[in-house]
Amino acid sequence: MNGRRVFYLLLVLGVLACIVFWRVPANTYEWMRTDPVIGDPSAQLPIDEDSWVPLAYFAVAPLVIAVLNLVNAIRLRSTMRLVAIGFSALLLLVVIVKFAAS
Amino acid sequence: MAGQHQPGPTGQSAVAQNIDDGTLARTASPAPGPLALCTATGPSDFSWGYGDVVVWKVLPKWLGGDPDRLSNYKDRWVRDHRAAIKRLSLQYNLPPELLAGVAWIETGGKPYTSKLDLYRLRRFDHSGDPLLEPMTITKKPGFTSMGPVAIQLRRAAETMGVDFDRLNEKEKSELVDCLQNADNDLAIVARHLWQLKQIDFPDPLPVGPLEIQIIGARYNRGRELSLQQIRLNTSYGDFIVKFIPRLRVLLAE
Repeated sequence: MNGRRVFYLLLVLGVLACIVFWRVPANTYEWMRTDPVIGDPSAQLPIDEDSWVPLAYFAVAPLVIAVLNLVNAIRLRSTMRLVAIGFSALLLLVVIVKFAAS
Repeated sequence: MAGQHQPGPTGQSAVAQNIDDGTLARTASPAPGPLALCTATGPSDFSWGYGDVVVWKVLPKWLGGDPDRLSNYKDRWVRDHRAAIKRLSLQYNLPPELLAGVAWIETGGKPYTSKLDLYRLRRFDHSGDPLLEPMTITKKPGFTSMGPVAIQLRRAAETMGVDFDRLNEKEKSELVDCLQNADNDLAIVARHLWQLKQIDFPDPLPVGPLEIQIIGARYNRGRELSLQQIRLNTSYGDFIVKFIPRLRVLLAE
């Protein structure tokens, strides 16, 4: 498979992995705000110091895809290479932002 | 009494010997030992996993997602354990809604296996020479919450009158296994709640919504804080109080 095809494949997988990662709760008690029945958007959340653990699991996929995409970028030329590097940076940014918000 | 020793190999007691005064716990409890409340030998409860999180939070409805999966699971868990919740609440002279509320809040959410993984990671991080302790990057293993009704290992140990850090590896491992069993977990949490009640409300008066608010907040925020500090964030206890009508339905079914 040529580099361009691999990039498109990683692009789709990366977007999906990011959606999954983004939807995982950053605080175990987040349902106190978001549950459709009992949630109260203004609720003050209790402390959850270990919340980063499940988040870390779900961060593996976007991070692996970011690395693979970077490796594949070597095979690409000019603009495509920049786009691929930018996409990897974006995946990394999403992971950092989510952890920072947790 | 401070400094009094508990029987068993683990040294000093972290909890007063007369802690059970005013409850039925002493007569109902087994003989004291390092892990005296770990009596049930049934299966471990790993009924909430990563797959449940995906169905609950990630998948859209048309792909089999279920936004109510967590609350349905919590309802079911409390309903399935209502007999134990009522029995333990009676034993410690606590309203069943308090233990049921803590159980409802704590069950589900975080995959149960992730707690074990975090414990192993922290144990590995802190397994080196004590001189290397400042170089560790994670909290001590005793700070890991364990069991379906999550309680920190150090709190569970304190509840049974021992210091987690003084337990040997076998006893620590036994405590981790012990908390995976729902009956042991509930028994320890019930006793812990009773001990938390004694901090602010030592009188043997009935526990009402105000007390539930404070005890619940302490369960989440710790026994070391002053009552004034606890009052700054009682969201955990507030939720239990607000949820009492539903908890009563679950306990009555």
